[in-house]
Amino acid sequence: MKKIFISLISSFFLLNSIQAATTNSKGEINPFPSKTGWDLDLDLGSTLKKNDPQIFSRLRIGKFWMQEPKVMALGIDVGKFSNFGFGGGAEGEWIHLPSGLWIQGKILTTQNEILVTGLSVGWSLVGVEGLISPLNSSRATIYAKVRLPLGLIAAQ
Amino acid sequence: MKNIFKMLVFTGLMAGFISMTGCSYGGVAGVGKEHVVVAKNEWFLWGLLKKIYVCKATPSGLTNCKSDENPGLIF
Repeated sequence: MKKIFISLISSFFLLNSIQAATTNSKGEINPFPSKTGWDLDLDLGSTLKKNDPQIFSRLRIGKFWMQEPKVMALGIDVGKFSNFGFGGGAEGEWIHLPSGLWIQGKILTTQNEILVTGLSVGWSLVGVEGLISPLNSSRATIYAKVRLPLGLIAAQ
Repeated sequence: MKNIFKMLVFTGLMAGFISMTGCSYGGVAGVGKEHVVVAKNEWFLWGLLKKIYVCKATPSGLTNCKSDENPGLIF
């Protein structure tokens, strides 16, 4: 049940981020101008195991769409995914600028697993991420991570 | 593990709730007869992405918001 939930939510945020938001929550045209640009996001993190922490770093390259109060981004995510090994896939993100909250959904393939889905939530530059392999019931892991949105910073 | 999962779900629900209800204006001030200056706060990068917009106020709401404008040239 948990795996199905995370997989569905991951897919939702991935697909949702493909479209830039041009309307507000009431369906009205947003009066604020939109901005698009190259997205570059660096993730640094570690597993939560005290005995055997595994450090990882990853890079997402893609495109972002910014329109108050949201930013959506979609890109290719490559790097190490801890016990799943090196891999890559697609990642979508939704950021709520006023609160600083963000959610990421991803679908990947790695050295050790054909299909891995992930869901991350966080505030500002810190967050937690859960990765699971829907095809393998015993594979799931949780990370803490720091993210550096270099593309958004450079676009200012 | 269960607690972390609950925390993930809670944070996601909070984000959804805020996006539906939250007002993101940091400040609004009227300038002239038709325009307002809107300051948008953000906690994502502690203000690094903060923008000041000049918008036209109409009975149906704000329209045609622009940033990086010199207000002196508009009014």
